Amino acid sequence: MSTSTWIMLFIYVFIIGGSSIYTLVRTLKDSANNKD
Amino acid sequence: MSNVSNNRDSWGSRIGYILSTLGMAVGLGAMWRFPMVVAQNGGGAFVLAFALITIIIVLPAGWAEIGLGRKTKAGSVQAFGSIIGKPGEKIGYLMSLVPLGLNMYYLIIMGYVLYYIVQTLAGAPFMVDPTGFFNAFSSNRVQATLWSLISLVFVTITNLGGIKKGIERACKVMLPVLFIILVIMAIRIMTLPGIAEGIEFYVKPDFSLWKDPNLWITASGMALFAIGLGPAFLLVYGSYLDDKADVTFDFATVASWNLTTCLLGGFATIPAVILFGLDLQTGPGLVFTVLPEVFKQMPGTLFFALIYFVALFFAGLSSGIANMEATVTVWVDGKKLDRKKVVLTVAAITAVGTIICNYFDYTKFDYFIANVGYNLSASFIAILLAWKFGAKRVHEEWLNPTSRIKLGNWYDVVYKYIVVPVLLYFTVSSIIGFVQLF
Repeated sequence: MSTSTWIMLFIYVFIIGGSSIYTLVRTLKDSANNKD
Repeated sequence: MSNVSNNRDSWGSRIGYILSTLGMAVGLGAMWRFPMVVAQNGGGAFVLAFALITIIIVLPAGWAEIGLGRKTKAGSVQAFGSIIGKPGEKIGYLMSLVPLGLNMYYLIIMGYVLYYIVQTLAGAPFMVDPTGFFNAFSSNRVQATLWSLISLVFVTITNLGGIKKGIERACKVMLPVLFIILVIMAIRIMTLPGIAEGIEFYVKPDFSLWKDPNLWITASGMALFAIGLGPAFLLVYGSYLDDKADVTFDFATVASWNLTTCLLGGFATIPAVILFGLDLQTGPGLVFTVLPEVFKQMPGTLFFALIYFVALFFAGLSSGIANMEATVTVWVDGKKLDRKKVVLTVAAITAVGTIICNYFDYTKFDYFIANVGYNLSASFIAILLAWKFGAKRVHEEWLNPTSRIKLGNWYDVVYKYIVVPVLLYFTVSSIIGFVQLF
């Protein structure tokens, strides 16, 4: 696969996917601490 | 402006709200429509345009729309009316027709999916000749209508349960199941030998395709459709939030998960379609005619087929519930009508519309609802909030006081001078595009 394909894969999987996981973990932690 | 209703149900928990909003957003849009339009619009270039619109347009506009819902605690009629009076109320009632119209053909696809689940359990006869099987089923109007109406019964029963009992409970179960199934599908397909060319098509953007305005119109329609921005879905769901809810962070969570799910939906289908040399231009039948061919060439054929169609039905059900809820809330709040009676009335109207859609070509209707309806509604709300109410007041009065993310003056510039003009451009272009279909 070309370099640009790897870059886009990185963006979609790690940056966008990672952002999703971060937001969810943060929300779950808040909920566990009864902040919501 | 003040709260216009104080006697409404509210979300049981923050997670319940996020999952329910995601359930509304993540539907057939992510798993049926997104792969279809990616395939039709050149792959990677479309996917990147879709992602950019989601981040630059959908996020700022969504924050404001949810903020309006939470502030007014009402559906679109009273929410718009609180800003511009009677004309706003009329537009609110008019806007409720978009989700109503959407459900009329949405239920057709849900009916297809339900039928394929039953057929998969019966040994998946569609594996022999997927195209012939799909064409035979979809052209049998009586049968297709029957399955659409069965799907409508599922949607109606859930909505009759009330906001907390019905939607929240259903989505808490559906969403995690859906994500797990999608991840399994994507990993399985991404690890097939020779999949590289398919991945390249899906993620590598060919920037020359960006010159085509149709790509951007379709990407915008898809981005709004996928998350429910425009026809007051987000406003209605936001109206059930309590005054301490973190609108900014929670919608960022919803938007990022919605984007991830759409991308997963694409990873689970598009590269495999390329790998097996199948037709990218299949259109609405892509899932039903192409995926069985893909499943056939994978180990565990029936297992993968079953979990995919079950996930697709869950996705459709959660969005079908939201479509009905968006219409119901407008009339319950606007006219102070009994909720159960409104749900049953909306279900009856939807049933009639679904029967009609089953007997006519609904692809132009889909273009009208998804592109014209969504862009027009989103433009109206953006103009109303960014220019009439004031983008500065939106973030200073509605968003920042209860959010961990503090929006600065950059938000005003983006909302007023980027979001509004871009949405207006997409609206005008989509209307022209719709006229050109005839």
